[in-house]
Amino acid sequence: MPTGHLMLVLHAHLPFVRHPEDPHFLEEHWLVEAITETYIPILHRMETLADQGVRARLTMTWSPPLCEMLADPLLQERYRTRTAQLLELAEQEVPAKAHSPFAEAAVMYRDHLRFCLRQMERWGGNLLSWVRALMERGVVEPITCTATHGFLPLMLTRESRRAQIEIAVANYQKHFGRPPAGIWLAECGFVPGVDELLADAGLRFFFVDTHGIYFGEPRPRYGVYAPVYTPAGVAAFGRDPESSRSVWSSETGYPGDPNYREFYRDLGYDGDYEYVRRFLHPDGVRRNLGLKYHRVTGKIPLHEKQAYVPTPAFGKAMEHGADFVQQRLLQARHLADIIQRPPTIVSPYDAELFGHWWFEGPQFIESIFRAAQASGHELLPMTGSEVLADSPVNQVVMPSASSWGDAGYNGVWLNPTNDWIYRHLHMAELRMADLARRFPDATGDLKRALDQCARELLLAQSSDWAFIMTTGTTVPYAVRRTKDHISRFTDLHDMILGNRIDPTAVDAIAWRDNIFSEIDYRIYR
Amino acid sequence: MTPDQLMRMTIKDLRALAERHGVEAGSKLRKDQLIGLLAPLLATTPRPEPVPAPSAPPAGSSTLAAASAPAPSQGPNPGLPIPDRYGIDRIVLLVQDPQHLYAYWEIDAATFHRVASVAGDGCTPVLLIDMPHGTEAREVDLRSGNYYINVGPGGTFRARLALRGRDGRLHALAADSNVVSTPAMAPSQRQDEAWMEVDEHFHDLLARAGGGGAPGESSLNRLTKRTLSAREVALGSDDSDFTTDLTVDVGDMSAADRTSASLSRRVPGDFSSHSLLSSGSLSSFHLSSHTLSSHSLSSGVFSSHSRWTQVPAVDLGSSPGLTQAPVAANPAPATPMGPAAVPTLAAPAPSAPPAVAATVTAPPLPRPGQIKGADTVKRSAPRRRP
Repeated sequence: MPTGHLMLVLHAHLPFVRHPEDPHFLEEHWLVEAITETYIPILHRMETLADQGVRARLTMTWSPPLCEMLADPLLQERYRTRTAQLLELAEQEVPAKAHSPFAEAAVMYRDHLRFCLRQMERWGGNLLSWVRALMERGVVEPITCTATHGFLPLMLTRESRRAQIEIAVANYQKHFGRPPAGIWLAECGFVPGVDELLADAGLRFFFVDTHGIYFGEPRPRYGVYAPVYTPAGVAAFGRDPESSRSVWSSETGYPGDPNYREFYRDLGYDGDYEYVRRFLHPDGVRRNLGLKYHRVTGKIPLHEKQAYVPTPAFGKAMEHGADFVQQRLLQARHLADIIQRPPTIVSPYDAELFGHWWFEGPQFIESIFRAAQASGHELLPMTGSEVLADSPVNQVVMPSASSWGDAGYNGVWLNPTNDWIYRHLHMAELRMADLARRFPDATGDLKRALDQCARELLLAQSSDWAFIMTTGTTVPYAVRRTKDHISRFTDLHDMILGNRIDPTAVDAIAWRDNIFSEIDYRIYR
Repeated sequence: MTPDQLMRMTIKDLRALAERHGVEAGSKLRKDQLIGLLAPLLATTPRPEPVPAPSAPPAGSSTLAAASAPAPSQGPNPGLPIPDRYGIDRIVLLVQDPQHLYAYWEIDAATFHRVASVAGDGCTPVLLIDMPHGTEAREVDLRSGNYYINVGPGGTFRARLALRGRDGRLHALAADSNVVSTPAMAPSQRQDEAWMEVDEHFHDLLARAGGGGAPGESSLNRLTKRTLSAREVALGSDDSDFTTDLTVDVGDMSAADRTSASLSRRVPGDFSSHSLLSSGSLSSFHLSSHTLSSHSLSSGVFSSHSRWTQVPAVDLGSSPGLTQAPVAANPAPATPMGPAAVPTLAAPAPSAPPAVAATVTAPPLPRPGQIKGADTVKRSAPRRRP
């Protein structure tokens, strides 16, 4: 019998950044980078573990917008085009960096980009096929997420919350051929009442931040170290703060190791302009290309960073994975003495942390499972469904309203930088529900217009836009996306109520915002 | 490219560059004139300033999206036009955190003039907030359209807008807002435990996990659960204690301040949209004011079985020595990406020297305190009672 269970959870999500109108749309590069640096490396390592008989269990969100983009032929083609272009650069880099401290990294980039293109070919361009294969082998449990990463606590109507959940379930069914057992509520945003909607949608578990459990009603006997059932019968898992800290902490977190790759030194900035110009965006502005040749080194200026050498860096990731398991084992032994049952340690992270930000992160994940195996599975990796099957009796606790955002509540998505969006989002929520009741059985052009209304509302509700406004990164894009979707929604709404639907206009909007082909607006009734 | 970089180029190179960018650069143009033409076209995103350590990008759901932050290629695009107003008198409350609410409103000019004519000259707009301890009134500028309100945790709130006449009488400008509840900020005092067994078919559950069983084998659309007694699931209690200190020793909770919400607990921020628009105004808000207890009991989605499990009362202890555990120097074969490099677990060494921590730098990842709260929100696990 294991001393404890380890539930490693990765949340993979990107907002829907498909722009068919522009073959060089910058925000689409978010997807390209994530595929190359995070999704392919993680899937590859999980597959390797399975091939070698190592017990690996990863609970992993594949958010509906991400699924829609990964399955989209246009974006698949753009990924291949962009990656082939970068491979051309990487191939030039190998001789250019030969006999220099950067030689090993140059070879690594070339080989990895080749590997990525081969994998895309292997899976017919759709990485979700790979996820499905790993799901069938039991090493990855894909779960869903609110439909467009909508932040449920700040939605006004029950209809909108329900739609975000049920559309997510339907989309998961489309991509994975079965209903999801679990859901990642965007930003772990929970308020009591959401659990009932989850139960109605057939979902069995979700996640909240640590204080969501500790401040629940009544007091949780086992804290975050066992799932609880809400009164609606859905299980809630709470984040383990200790394992979070070991990765997230800026002071003691693993990713700050001097051997690891430095994110902010990139050939796109460092290379001779004429040399890299051809691989930059047509506007000629220097940006990251993903070929980075320096390591963290220490707390020194960027220009003093030393050469990045993959071998010791990946070795360090192996050490850190083993250390992570060792720390969790100590934790589990301590907790097991107290609660008299194997504690479940839930370690959730943004997937894009691993590989994109922390380049060696996928190696770290692999080494966690290897180290757990080496422990004789005293610490047993499990997925969410496995934990519930193993421990079906749990305390009934209503988690507290909470999120995993800064300060633990809604402030990241509601503050003076972004509060203006809610009067528009809420009005669209009300109007959408009203339309669904007015037109209970629409067909033809009317139904297409109503379905598109739902898409526009859903896209406007992506928590990513409010988040970006808060962080101040690509604010113009986030503002534009919010306004565009609200505007298109309003136009469609007025068109429908004015009985003047223009099929051509509806088609033009649907061509642009084509997420969720399976949508049925009647979900808002 | 920056103007400085352009300055370092020869005039011949500058002319070639101008030609590649379609700039009309006649042979008479001086170097500074060429640079003046080229600089705006080749303006680069400023590189991150050298910082002592890689400055951490913001975290969140879209960490990659938010922090990759490529310079926009599309140029200024303010987005499509959106309505300034919707022509519906309304006030809406949102919870920002346990101690702050956000209210926004829209009052049609015609409504304002109609109500103002009744309220009389010198009337003042006020925002009235129903709080657990009574109603508070704040004078507001109606044109601002929004207001942040300091409140306390564990309470239920409602707001309305009115004009206050010189005689002190209130004249409503819109229907009452939705009702919201702020969460508690401390562990509950309630320790009455209910336990539930979800009557799950093991293989069905595993099949969903991908770990066994045939796809589509499930015949269950819903969880089934044991019937809950009213006593055991009653969650409508207003007996929610709170304290503003997030570091709470559960053993001392009896000393914590106690406040009861005077309003019944409702599903925070949630109300049915039914009839909101069909009536043409928000005056007919239908609040879903069911309490959690009554709702959960009336939920008819589950089949009923019942088994309750009693577990001896135990409190969690903290796990000292683990939370600050340094990155241990746990040697493993440094074979990158190599499957053969299986590390072995050394004996626990919590006292091992922080081999790496001493030189650790901020990682290239989201600042924990900014979004994830790992460092800034200090919460201690409940401690074991003596």
